[in-house]
Amino acid sequence: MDFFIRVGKIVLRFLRATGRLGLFTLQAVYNCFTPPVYVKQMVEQFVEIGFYSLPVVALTTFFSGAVIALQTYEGFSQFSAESSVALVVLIAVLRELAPVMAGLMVAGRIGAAMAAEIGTMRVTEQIDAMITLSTNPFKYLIVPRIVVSVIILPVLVLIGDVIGICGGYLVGIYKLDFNSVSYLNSTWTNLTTGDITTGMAKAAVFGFIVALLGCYHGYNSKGGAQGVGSATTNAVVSASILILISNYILTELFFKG
Amino acid sequence: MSKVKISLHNVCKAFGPKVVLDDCNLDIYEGESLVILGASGSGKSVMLKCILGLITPEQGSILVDGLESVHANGSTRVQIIRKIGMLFQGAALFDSMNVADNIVFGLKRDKTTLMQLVYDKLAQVGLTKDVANLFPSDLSGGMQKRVGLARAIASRPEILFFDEPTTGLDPIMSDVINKLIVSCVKNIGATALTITHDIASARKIADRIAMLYQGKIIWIGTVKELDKTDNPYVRQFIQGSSEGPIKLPTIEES
Ligand SMILES: Nc1ncnc2c1ncn2[C@@H]1O[C@H](COP(=O)(O)OP(=O)(O)OP(=O)(O)O)[C@@H](O)[C@H]1O
Ligand SMILES: [Mg+2]
Repeated sequence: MDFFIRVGKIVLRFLRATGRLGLFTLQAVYNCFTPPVYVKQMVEQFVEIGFYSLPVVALTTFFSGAVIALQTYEGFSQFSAESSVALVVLIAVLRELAPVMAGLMVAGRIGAAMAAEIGTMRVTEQIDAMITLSTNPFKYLIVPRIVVSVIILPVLVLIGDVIGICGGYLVGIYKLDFNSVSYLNSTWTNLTTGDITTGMAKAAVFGFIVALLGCYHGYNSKGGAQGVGSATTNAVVSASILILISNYILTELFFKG
Repeated sequence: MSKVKISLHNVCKAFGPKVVLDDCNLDIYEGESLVILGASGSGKSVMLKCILGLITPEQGSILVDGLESVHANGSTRVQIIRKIGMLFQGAALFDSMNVADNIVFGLKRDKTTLMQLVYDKLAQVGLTKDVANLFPSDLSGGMQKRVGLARAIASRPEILFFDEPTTGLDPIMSDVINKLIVSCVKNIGATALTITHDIASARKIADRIAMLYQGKIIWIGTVKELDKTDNPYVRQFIQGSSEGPIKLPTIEES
């Protein structure tokens, strides 16, 4: 009996959290499409999320592309290694590695920062103060973060695509002694807009997840420093898990045929 | 007396098992300065937040200028909030902005008007112009409180809530702030609701004084009546004695 009570409690808590997140999402999205728009806050977030995330995204995609080149060479070395390695690097980076790596990195960098900043504002009553100054915190704090993340992550992924392919290329040329021209050639012929756009579409979804969960956990944080700390952790962990799950679902949707 | 500006009727608020406001009733008249006294933790700040709609009471009704504040949303909520300026107990300044941006937050005027407003308000709370470019983390506690006060009055709201405006200030600066509150009420015609533990300050700023105890307003009257009352709770509170009907949960009791 005790067992069922405990399981029931967990299920109920899960359902309540899901419902609360659902309501929060609806409110956030509704506020995205109603005035006023805080342009200055948007610009600040563009710099914070877009520009400052470039180094981490570049580093992670570079080495992901490089390691894929190394690993596939092992498998394909007997056959026409050059074109296969180029093809595998291309598909892996464009479809999976660049979006997932960028998503996870931004979750760690930006999701955590959002939860910490908004959480601190919550526990020091700055959000209450904002309300008394006739400013809707959803519009001022949350909408800019969500909108900018959804727009900027695809751009980051596009840059990550290029850098990841470069990583594979450099390994191919200097480590595996491929011919530079024919490697580039087979990369070019296998390049499809579909692979690029699906990767960017995934990135937009991941951007939404990261910003939404960062804001949600920050906005609902309780207590003091400890509450903000756990909000930060929860934001990163939940965003990372959701990114990986939704990545699988999106891959099934996009590449079923 | 003039018309009722804010009216609390049977307001109940509990956090879990802890009852904070228990059938609380209070009428605040237009243009008066009401001071609320009460022990630490008796629910004074919670009461202000209930009126603002930051906390929703379980029961009761709160009317601000005839508008129901409990469960209000949309345009009613905006209307009520616009009328009220609030100084939070912990100042609650935006730490990502400098003092000037804090003071004029949410106001839409042109830049020079706003800057002039910043300097005016800073002067009113006894701060110099160079404070405008500092960040809240660079200010002392008392200075933060005064910037919070400047922010609360910047939009010239009809109703002002001050949560312990003089706590953490030296006696001279306290007097400056007391005079500022009085002038807001007398000159601008605002309705002020002040929470304070400082009886001297309460005497200076209050038209009426109310005492909150165990979730209810147990006494309300003018400053003169305060000195003459034989209400044992009020007497104990203004004398600051630990002997009397108000029992605090200290070691002896448990
Ligand atoms: N968000 C909250 N969650 C749970 N309990 C709360 C919350 N806010 C306030 N309380 C409780 O309500 C009671 C009243 O708090 P409140 O802040 O109104 O006290 P106060 O009268 O302003 O005291 P002080 O003079 O020390 O500021 C306290 O016991 C506090 O523990
Ligand atoms: Mg208080």
